[in-house]
Amino acid sequence: MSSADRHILIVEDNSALASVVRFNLQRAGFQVTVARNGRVAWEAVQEQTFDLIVTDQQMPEMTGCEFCEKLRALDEYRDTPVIMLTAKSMELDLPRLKAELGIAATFLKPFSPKEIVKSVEDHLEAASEPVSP
Amino acid sequence: MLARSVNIELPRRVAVFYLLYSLVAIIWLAASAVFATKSIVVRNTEDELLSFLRHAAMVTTIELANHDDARLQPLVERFSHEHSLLYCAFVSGDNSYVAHSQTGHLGQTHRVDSGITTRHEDIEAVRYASGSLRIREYSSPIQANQESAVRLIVAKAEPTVGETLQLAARHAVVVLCVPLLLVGLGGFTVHRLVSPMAAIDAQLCQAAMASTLADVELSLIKARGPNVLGWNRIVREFQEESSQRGLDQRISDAVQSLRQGKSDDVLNSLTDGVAVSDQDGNVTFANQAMEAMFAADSKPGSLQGKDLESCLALDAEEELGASLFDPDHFARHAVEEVVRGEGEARQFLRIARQPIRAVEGTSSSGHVWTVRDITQQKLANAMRDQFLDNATHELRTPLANIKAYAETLSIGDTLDVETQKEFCNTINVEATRLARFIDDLLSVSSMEAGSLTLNKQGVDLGRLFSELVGKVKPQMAQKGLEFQTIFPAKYPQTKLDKDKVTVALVNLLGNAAKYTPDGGRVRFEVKITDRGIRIEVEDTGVGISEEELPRICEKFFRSSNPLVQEITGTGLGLSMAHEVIKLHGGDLTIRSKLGEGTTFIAMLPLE
Repeated sequence: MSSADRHILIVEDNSALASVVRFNLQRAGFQVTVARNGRVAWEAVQEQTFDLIVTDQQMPEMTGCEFCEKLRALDEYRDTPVIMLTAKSMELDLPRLKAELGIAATFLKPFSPKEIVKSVEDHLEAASEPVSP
Repeated sequence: MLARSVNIELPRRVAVFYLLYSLVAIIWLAASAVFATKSIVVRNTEDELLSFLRHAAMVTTIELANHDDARLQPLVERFSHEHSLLYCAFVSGDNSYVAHSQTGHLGQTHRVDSGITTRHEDIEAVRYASGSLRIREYSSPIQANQESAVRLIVAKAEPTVGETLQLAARHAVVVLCVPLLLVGLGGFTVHRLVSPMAAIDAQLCQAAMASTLADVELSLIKARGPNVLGWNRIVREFQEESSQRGLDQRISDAVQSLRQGKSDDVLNSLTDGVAVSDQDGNVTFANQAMEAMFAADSKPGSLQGKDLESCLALDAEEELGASLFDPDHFARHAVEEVVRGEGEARQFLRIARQPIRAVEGTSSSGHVWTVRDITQQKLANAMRDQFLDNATHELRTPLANIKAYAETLSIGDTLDVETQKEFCNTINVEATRLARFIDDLLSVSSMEAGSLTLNKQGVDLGRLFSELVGKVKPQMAQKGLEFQTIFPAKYPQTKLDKDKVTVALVNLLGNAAKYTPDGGRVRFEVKITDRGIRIEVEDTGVGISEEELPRICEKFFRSSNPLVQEITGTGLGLSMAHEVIKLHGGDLTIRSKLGEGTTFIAMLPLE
């Protein structure tokens, strides 16, 4: 599958940041949708299917973790890779996030968009690999 | 016996006994006198008789020498009469009466009933009883001519009891009355001497029966005499000493209670709760703060004796308070932070327990508890934590943008010029935002340290305000807010710290924009009044509730209104604006209605 078929959802309330991440992902060939907050994202995931979700943690109305929890209740999104962006180092308890919410990776702000893109590519590849018996 | 005697006064008692014994003595004396009288009378009579007898014998002898027998009878009659004899007789040798005063006995044989015989030289005395009389008969031989041996017999009756008494009675007046009088006088004297003692005696008996000497009320006696004076002196000293002792006791008690009261006062004036529990966990002392915190009712002393653990009523599920009541740890110091109550009444308490080291080496005698309400502290900490969260976010977000855009720019020659310009602009804007936030933080630090100082200089107000408008216009436009500005035509000269005032007003305007939903209105009006520069910032935003309005300018305070919570803020902007205005000698008034909007009115005096 080429990256053009992959649809990424960005959930970020800071529009400037969302823009630059989208710019980088689009430049890498992905289809990108941006949601301003968790509520909007929730509506989006029900309307469309995304291959990967990049979400901020601190957002109004619904935090990234809360959105993730809801996401996992949906069958089609049970295994969808989720990358989390956060401004707080405390929440980088990756093992727990991984175990409880299936979060694939976390990035602390400020981050490098190049690394984000690489992480997206890696996790999509990993997700598309057949599960070994 | 004692009780009965108390009812009879001492002097009377003394007098009675005195008189009693005296009377007995007198009676005894009287009886003895009577008895003595009889003996004396008898003895006298005897002596008399004996001497008479001798005399009579001589007379008779002379008569008989004249050989005149016929003269015997008149003799006996004469003798009998002269000496009041019971009888008088001559007895011949053949023991018959040759003469007898009682003529009826003439010729009869002289016979005497059995009696007691004694001899006084040649006179024989016989005492015998005849009927109710006791008779003494004396016989004396007469020395006549050798032919007839005659004996003269005289007899006298001993006085009877009645006669004795009569005899005695003759002297009775003298014998009895004088001692009686003397005894009477003596009794009177004794009574008088003793009557002062009555009062003393009564008081002594009282003292004997009182349970404690302090209950005895001794009184002075009004009487004269050294013993009374001595008594009064003793009583006075006793009273003085008791009152002194009473005073000492009262002083000692007062000092004790003062010390006690002082330490109680000290403990009761603490805001921390202090309590003492015994080894069974029951409260033996609780100060006022403790009672206010835990007592079910408002009566003082209501915690006394209650089981402390149940009084604290900590949530049993919480393990927080466990170590405080764990018996294994009783001998050790324990400190716990516990939670009590829910919602508005939620309290955080810091409870410390220290075992009391028993003084005399007995086993652990209980614990001292201190309870401190740290709710405020916790809340303050919570607010500061929230602030730190927000601060981190506010710092990292613009930085994230700067880095992301810069990195993106650095990669691409795939970017067109417009995009490049756009990206650079974003970097610039974000850098500014970051700088401003750092300024805010630094200001807050100075505010915290109390070292915020003003740099007052002459300022062009017109320029200040127009620059201000320029700063906030983009923000207003971004949200589609109607931004109304009203300025006076002329500005007076004044001095103020331009930078700080600008920041303060940017905060107010920025808030107005932030907290007003899209399409709302913000009015910025400046008026020059005689009090100074009046600046009004009015919005149609979310508003501030009545409960939160007094707190809105507190450092780190952020409204719990969800509409506010979802907008990033540090809780510092208003407190800084308020501080700056205050430092300029002005004031900040806030009017607001929840859901309708808020108006901030800042007054800056002219200088």
